[in-house]
Amino acid sequence: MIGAGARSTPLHAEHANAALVNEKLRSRWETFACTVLDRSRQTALIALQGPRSEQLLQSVCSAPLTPLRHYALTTAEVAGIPAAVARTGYTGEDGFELFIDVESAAALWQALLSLEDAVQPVGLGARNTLRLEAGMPLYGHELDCSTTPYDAGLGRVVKLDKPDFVGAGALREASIAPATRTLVGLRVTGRGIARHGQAVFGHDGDEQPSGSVTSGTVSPSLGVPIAMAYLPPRHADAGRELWVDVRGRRVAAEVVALPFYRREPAS
Amino acid sequence: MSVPEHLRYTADHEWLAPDERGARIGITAYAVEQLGDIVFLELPEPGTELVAGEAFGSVESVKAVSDLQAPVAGTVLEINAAVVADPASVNLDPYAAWLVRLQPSAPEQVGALLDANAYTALLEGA
Repeated sequence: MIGAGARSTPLHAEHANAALVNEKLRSRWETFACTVLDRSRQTALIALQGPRSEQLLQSVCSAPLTPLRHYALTTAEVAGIPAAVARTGYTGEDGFELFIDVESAAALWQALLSLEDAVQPVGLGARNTLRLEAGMPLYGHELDCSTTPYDAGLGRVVKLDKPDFVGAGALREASIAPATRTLVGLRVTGRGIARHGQAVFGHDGDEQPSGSVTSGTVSPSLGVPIAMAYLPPRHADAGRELWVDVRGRRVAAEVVALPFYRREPAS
Repeated sequence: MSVPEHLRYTADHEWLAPDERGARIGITAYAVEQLGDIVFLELPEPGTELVAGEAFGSVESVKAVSDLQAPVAGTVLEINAAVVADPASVNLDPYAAWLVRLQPSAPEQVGALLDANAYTALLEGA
């Protein structure tokens, strides 16, 4: 987490990227009347996710949560602990992320767990299957420094009509360039599980791969192996059959629409 | 952690049960706990010759893929089709859900595997 000056703007970078984001900000801050504080080591993040997260968090949160929109942030006391409360998360479900001082993390964790038995500790393995079912790209898998937002199906988050911003020129070009690859969903129809880094072939006999798998697992919600992969647009139509090299075996897969799973709309 | 007395073990967390028709091989309760939900098994065809210590198949959980390593040399007599069809049965009872049955080619290798006490000591040191 990085905060800037007296009028502070918190910025939360994916943990794996915090050092890079910090460096990129510091290399540019001198042109702006601001300072960059790396608060990563003083800040902890606890996510409360799931269809009942609003109801459960509201019982211990000083700020009203119903008006808090997705991706919005507010400050509040949660179980008496000062927190930045964001309606964010990476599970495809409704949920909140609570940014707190590291000193308060254990107390907040215990307070949330004691809300009721339905609140359970969940690790990153489960988080990863949920975000994959929801078709959400993850840094280090679907995203890296060579990916454009348009490759990853994230063009909607880029506002090209804003005043100049870092990367605006490159993104304007990328937004109109013909796509060379596109992120697709795969359902494995043969016997095997496609995993990150495995080659994808347009035809069973092809020697040259046409793309590669970025994430893959067995979907607990659907009970079948699913994956995401970058492919040339000509191989990206839903229903197209492809082959994945699973540790030396060609396993059949089918292009399917993302997301694999959509949560029930709020009632 | 369950470590049945009558089995032999490897440091890679596989078990071997000598019986009247060769030896059954599976993975231990510790291995299953580390892997989490098992979703896929890749096992060799009957007749495959296994080399002690070399990979002969894989076990895949939601989290990770792990190689299966041959505890001893031998010929695959049979694979357990029921666990291939239902990999989660390994999670339910890892000592009942054998994976392959082997005809060991060097029986002295079986005696050299860890017994339950030695395997328990290995787990406690882990």
